[in-house]
Amino acid sequence: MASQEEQQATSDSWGTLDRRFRGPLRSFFVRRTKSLADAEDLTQEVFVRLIRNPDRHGGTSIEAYVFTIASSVLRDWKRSQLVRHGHAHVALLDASDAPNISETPPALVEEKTPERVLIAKDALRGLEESLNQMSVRTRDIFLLSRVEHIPHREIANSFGISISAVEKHIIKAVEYLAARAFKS
Amino acid sequence: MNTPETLSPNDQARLHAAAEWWERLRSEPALELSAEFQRWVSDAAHERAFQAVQDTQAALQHFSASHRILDMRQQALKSLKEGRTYRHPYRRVGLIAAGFLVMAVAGGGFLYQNVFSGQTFRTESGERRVVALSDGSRISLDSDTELNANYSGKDREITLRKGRARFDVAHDVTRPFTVTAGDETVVAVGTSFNVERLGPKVVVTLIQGRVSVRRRMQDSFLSADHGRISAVTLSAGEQIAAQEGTAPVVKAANLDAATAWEAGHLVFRGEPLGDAVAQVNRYTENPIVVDQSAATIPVSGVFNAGDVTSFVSAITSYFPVEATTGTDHEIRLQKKPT
Repeated sequence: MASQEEQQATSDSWGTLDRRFRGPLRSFFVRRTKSLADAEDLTQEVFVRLIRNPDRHGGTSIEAYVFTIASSVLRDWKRSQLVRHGHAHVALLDASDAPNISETPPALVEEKTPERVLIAKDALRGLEESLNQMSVRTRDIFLLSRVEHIPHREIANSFGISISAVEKHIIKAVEYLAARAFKS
Repeated sequence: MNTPETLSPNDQARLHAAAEWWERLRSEPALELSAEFQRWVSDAAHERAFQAVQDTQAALQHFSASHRILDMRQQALKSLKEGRTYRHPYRRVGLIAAGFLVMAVAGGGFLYQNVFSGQTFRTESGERRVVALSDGSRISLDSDTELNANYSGKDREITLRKGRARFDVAHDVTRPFTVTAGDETVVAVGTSFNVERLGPKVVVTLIQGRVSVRRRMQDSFLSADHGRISAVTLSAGEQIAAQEGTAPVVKAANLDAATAWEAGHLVFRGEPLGDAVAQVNRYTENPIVVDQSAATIPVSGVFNAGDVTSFVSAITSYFPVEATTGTDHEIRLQKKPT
């Protein structure tokens, strides 16, 4: 049984945790689920898990600990979405050039309707166009890092450039891809 | 159609900041909950820029195996390799010569058949490759891997000769997709799985879908009716390890660990040192040798594939293992004397 002092300490840090992380967690989940309602539920789930394991973060910072819980809550949610929409999901994949099955973002796991298929095709075409608009070197370096997961050092060696130059190419490519989706 | 250049200077700056944040968060994900990031992203225009980055990066992963993007990936890998070749012209010639030698020595019978029917794909140590087959199936080859794909109107047969590969199989009920590795054959129905040859052992991990794993008959007089062929059906998240002369073992797999190699990581959780080193050796031309005394010591940890030095230093600091380096720079791991 925790003493009164300890309980006081816990509820204090609880209030602090809530103030500090509720907002950030909500936007973390909104960005990934695109649904306010889901984001609220998932944020709540993070706090539930935090209450159950209040001080399991050992040596790591509280930020890293909360983030780890949030990531695992998100992973469970994605899995449940996959189960729920499993068949529709496969159908959508069939319609869109056999994309990578394991890394499907949740936003694309949806019912297969003609509109959805069109949206998927549009997204793919946009992506291809953006990749074609950047310089070949930028694209090569970006794909090697982001899709093939080749270490920056190895890319730098092979292309005869510095690691920071590799990073600049990657950021440039990220900007090219995002520019299409960014409306001010 | 927007490119960064067509945006207003202010939007260009926002987008640039968003891309930089995206990169920082990749190496330090927990920063997403930091006060600093929250302050930046609380501005609505920043939030939109960040969302644009996040959505397009997710879309890229989603579509990374579509045909045109696959072509671009091949081209990128080619550029990488050409850069390397330029630096090491002799090494490459040597490897090609070795390849011919293997083909010449193995020239007869069964292997000959396999080499010249269907397509052979191989990777050198330190190289990874993704190939798309005519039916839309996709194979991701780990370093130092070789396989043959033989498609006919009736079936799709893959033979994994060595190494490790991940298969994302296009659904086609009329043509079964099989992968044979040693004596084990995996039959897949529209599914995603990993097959790995570790010396005499074959490890199959099912990521999604359903497969059955069969052992080839050792003695052609025995039929399935005699119960000598074991067929095991795996469910998603299960792994089977099979080795000649022992009963195959099915266990729950850690999918993050089993698929980490695609991201360039090696994850070990209590694996025998011998098996772990076999995986590490796939990425280096100077293989580590494990002494019998240390081969069964269980080791754990996450390592960058290709970083042999860190692997050796971690293993020797956390486990009862010591390393000696021979005159030819060969690294040898053995049990620490007690």
